[in-house]
Amino acid sequence: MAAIGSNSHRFSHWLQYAALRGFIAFVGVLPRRVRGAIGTGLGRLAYSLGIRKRVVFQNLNTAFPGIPQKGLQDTARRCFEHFGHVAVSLAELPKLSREALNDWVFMEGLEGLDRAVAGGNGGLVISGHLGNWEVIGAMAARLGYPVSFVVTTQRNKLVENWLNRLREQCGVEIIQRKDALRGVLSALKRNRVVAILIDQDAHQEGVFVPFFGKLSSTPRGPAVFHLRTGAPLIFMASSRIPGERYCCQMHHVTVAEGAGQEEIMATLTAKLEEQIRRTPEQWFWMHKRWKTLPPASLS
Amino acid sequence: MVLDAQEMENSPSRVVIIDTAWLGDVLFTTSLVGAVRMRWPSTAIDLVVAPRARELVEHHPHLNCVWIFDKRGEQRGMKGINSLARSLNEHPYDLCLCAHPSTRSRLLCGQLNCPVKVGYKGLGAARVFTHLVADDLALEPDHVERRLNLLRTVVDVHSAPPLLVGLTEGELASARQKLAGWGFQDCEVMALIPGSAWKTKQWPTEYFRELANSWISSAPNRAAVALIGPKEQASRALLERLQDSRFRVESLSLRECAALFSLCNAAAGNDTGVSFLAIAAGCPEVHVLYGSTQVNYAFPPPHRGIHAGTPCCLSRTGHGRQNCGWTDGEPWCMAQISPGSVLSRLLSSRR
Repeated sequence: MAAIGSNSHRFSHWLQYAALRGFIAFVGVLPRRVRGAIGTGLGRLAYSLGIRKRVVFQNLNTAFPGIPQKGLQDTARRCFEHFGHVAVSLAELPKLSREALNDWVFMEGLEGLDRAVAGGNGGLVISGHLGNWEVIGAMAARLGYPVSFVVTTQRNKLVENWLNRLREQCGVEIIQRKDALRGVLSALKRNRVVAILIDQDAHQEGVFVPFFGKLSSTPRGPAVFHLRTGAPLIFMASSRIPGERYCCQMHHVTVAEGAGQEEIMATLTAKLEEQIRRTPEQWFWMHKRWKTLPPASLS
Repeated sequence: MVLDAQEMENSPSRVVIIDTAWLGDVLFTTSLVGAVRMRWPSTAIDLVVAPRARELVEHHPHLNCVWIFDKRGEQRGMKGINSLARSLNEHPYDLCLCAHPSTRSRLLCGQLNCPVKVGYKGLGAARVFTHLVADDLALEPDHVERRLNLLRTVVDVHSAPPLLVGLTEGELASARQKLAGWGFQDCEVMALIPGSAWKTKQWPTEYFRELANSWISSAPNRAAVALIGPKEQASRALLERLQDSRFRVESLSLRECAALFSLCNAAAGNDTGVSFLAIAAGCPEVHVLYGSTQVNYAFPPPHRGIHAGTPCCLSRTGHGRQNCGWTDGEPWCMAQISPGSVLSRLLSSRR
């Protein structure tokens, strides 16, 4: 972590960081249901302030052509509320224990992780910004699985460092996206389970596969690592369920013999889309998923 | 008294299952009936249902006796519950499985002189039941599995037996006659099941008509019959706009429908209760169209639950609301399931 007063941090970053730390510390002492209500309120406030609202509307219109105006607003509002919940759930991470399993975190398909670890080749857990990936990943680490996260860098380094410290406290190893190639291969070699989220625009480096009927630039990492190491692909879907709880299901993904990067990523993206369609309000519609246009030859 | 699982390993001589819910729920309970029968082949199994479900469980091969609990009619109130409980207590039940988490069903169970009573957790349940099962739709959304969990508290149950409705030879013969009368005897027949009282569950009637038209146009030996209930006569006129000798619109009783389903090659519908009846009757392929309702049944292939996969005005827990919150008329999500997509699923399983 950078020292206080470092020139590399702008004053606004310090302000954001202090506000976030203070807020998380405050909600951390509240009962879960109260915290959930605060999360909902936080989401509604962000929605009312119009933060990224236009992007959410654009994305929803792209994914669900013809969605009624009321539906658009309703789904967008619920999406903001959901991410309010995800934000306040960060307060749970420092005190997350094994006892939380089957209390507020429910996990199905852990045998897939067991098999991956027993195979000695590590595993690639693929998911998206759906449900609550942070809590589920941290829970898996608390249960003793050797979990590594591939994370992207953020503009506010103070917040990024704090988030990474939270993850590490739970036993999660951090692999920076810029070092992903070396970091993931090393983690797999050490028989670790590497979690990669595949639903962010990968610019021109990505592979273009259909996502809600439109080609989207998708990170090719999981396919590259799978083809290079033979590490099993495990798809993880998480969702928030009534009662301020989270559940996840993990499924082993089988890809056709001789499948290339594009085919593998298309399979994984289709799985993600299927899950998003089940709980559309729990996906991160704030991100410009279709930002990079496919080359003319593809489109 | 609480018996442990070891004691229950001995076959109980009589088991009573209580499910006074809706048609679909009672059909799910037939899987529980099958599981009890598989576990204890010589045990007498009785079932308590509401009057509306009587038709479904008549002639069920695994049931010894069906009791009717007219909780909204003649047996309304505590007097009715006490009276039914007295009648039930004349039979020495060893095990009671309460598959309906309602207060009235719990009160009825509370009056039974039965050593082992299994029911769902909830208000007052701890006082009534000797064994409790979590009733958490979020964690165990499958209606059949949640029912089987009742039996799992006392014995091991592995796989879910199929839904089953018992049909007589006479009913089947009558259904065959109907098909022959319509000229469908050598046809591949699809049953269409529109209906459902709730707007949020209705697939547009025009879509049903379009599906029927595409189906009968897809091969010369294909025919379709739309089965509508007494409350859905408004749909009749819309459906009958399809003028074709290989298409019929009929109003039949539930048992007549069940017999017909057993002879059909496929069925598609948004009325979940009647669609589950088609599965229970042995229709080889049933496609159930879902709008706001959560898909809470693991359809054994080739049966399928088809969901629009779009955002919905409801949070998809339980049955939701009766009217769409986003549109004034038909629900937007249901309209996103195109007749073409349903037809392609039907045809793909035929290739």
